[in-house]
Amino acid sequence: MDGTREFGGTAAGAVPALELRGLTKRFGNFAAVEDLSLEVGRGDVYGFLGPNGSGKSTTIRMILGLVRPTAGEVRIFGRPATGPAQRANVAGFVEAPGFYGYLSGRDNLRLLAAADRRGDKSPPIQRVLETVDLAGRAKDKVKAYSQGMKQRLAIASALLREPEFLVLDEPTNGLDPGGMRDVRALVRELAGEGLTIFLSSHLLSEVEQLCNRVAVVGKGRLLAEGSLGEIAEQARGRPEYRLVADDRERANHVLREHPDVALLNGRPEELEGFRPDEVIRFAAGSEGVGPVVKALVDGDVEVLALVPARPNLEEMFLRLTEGE
Amino acid sequence: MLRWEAYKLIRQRRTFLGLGAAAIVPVLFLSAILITQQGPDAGEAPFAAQLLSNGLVIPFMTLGFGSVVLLPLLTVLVAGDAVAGEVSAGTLKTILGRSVGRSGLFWAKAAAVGLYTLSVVAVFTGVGLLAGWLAVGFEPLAGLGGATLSVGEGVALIWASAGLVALPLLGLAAFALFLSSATHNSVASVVGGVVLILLLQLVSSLGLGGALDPYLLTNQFAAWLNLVREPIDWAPIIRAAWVSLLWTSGSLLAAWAIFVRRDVLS
Repeated sequence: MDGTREFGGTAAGAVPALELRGLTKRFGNFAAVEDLSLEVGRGDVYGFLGPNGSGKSTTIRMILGLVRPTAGEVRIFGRPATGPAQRANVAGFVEAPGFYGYLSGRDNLRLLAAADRRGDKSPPIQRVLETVDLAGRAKDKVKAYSQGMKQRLAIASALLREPEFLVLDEPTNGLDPGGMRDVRALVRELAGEGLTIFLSSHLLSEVEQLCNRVAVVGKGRLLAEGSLGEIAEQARGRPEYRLVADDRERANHVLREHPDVALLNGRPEELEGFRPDEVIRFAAGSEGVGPVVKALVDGDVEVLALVPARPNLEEMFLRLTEGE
Repeated sequence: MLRWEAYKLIRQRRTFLGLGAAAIVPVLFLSAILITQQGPDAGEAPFAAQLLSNGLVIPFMTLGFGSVVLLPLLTVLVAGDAVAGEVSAGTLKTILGRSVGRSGLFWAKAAAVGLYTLSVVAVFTGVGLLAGWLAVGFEPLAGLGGATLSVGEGVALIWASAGLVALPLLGLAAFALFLSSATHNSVASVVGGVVLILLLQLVSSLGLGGALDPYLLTNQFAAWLNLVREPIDWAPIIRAAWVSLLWTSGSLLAAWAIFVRRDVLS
């Protein structure tokens, strides 16, 4: 996925696909989105990550023009998005996609295509139906569709506009594992075709699998932004390690006495070849792990394993969104 | 756009209910008359004396009582749902994600609602006319001024009357559309439209309207009675036209102003 960035990216001179500048939306006194600024480069698969109620959907509604910002602006391909004309290259959906249940899937697409001013170009209805693998069910009424089919129809309706920039809000929400796999494969395929994709999700694994850049939001604010590696860096703070010693009690004691170490035994740790309850987790100070090992050896502890702990995305996420 | 808005309307059960009721009620009315062999207590209604002998009278009678509750109700039933129904189904956000623009979508919707309103009146009148012809048969109509109207003139008079009833109905439809756009709530909009009608009728029947009474929207529904007079009294007819136009244009403008600005949050 990283490779796609080289074709566009946010390098100097290139116009970003999407730019949010100080975007703010207040409902009365409640700030759903507060001073949110970020940039999505062309060709990015950009993950928009946050727990439920963090302002993701409100942000997407502002991007799609459904909600008017209280302050700040949305720029699409360098132009302020003030109306449908500036959003001609953007397509997507927000929250559970809504369709006319009493019409067939194909009629829904025909209707939506009629609401697009695309000159004389005839809409590629059959092609997008095939892309999302719905061609066989296109004649059925949408109210008979499963959640997964509706999500795929929503992607089809977005593709119908032949956009350069695709906005997908929780596209795997409510799907069974098979449906999730299909939608993710579809997103990968579309990204491979060069589309810029803005994908909101509260599923870390999904973002980890699909996205090359990520913004993490919580309570309407931007908490972290960058590549997954950069975010890990921001979240981590001090380097952490996993340790297995011959005598867990004594090792714990030594670490607790050490001025430059913080024990992090909050929950069982995985380390291949050992039982979870044998593993000790700690964060080392600015001096690094060397002095700690020396202190352990001096304290007559045999070190059986010592591995740097790469905090997984879930921990980063929780730390970012709950550490306010 | 209008084509698709109209298509959406005719594919909805609500629309079928409205048009179906407009078609069934005249038939029920006629059946009741034929069974009991007497008209309703409508001594003042035009042509009431010829009710059992001339099918042309049926549409006049149905227009008379239909414009009090039934036609307004069927109108707001669909007009109140026009925007709110799309909000609750989550389709408004879908369609607004396209490039048509909010104004374009709004006027297509308004036009579709207008078409529906006219269709309700046309079905209601047409079915009454057809049923009257099949069950009783047409004869020249003894006009109120003593002159006799030919069958053709009678039919023309019926459609002119129906057209006059349609004017305040369009005003009401526009008001329900405004409620739909302002509340995003289908039930509130339909009930709101009905409450407006009942309230205005109540004000009028209690004599609370004072000098404004002739200008109340609900009082325009009876303007067609002046059309069957001899000679025709044009003043109330013209008043019905501009009062209805005022309601229609005022409500539409307000509805439009809200529709193009309002946040879509569902």
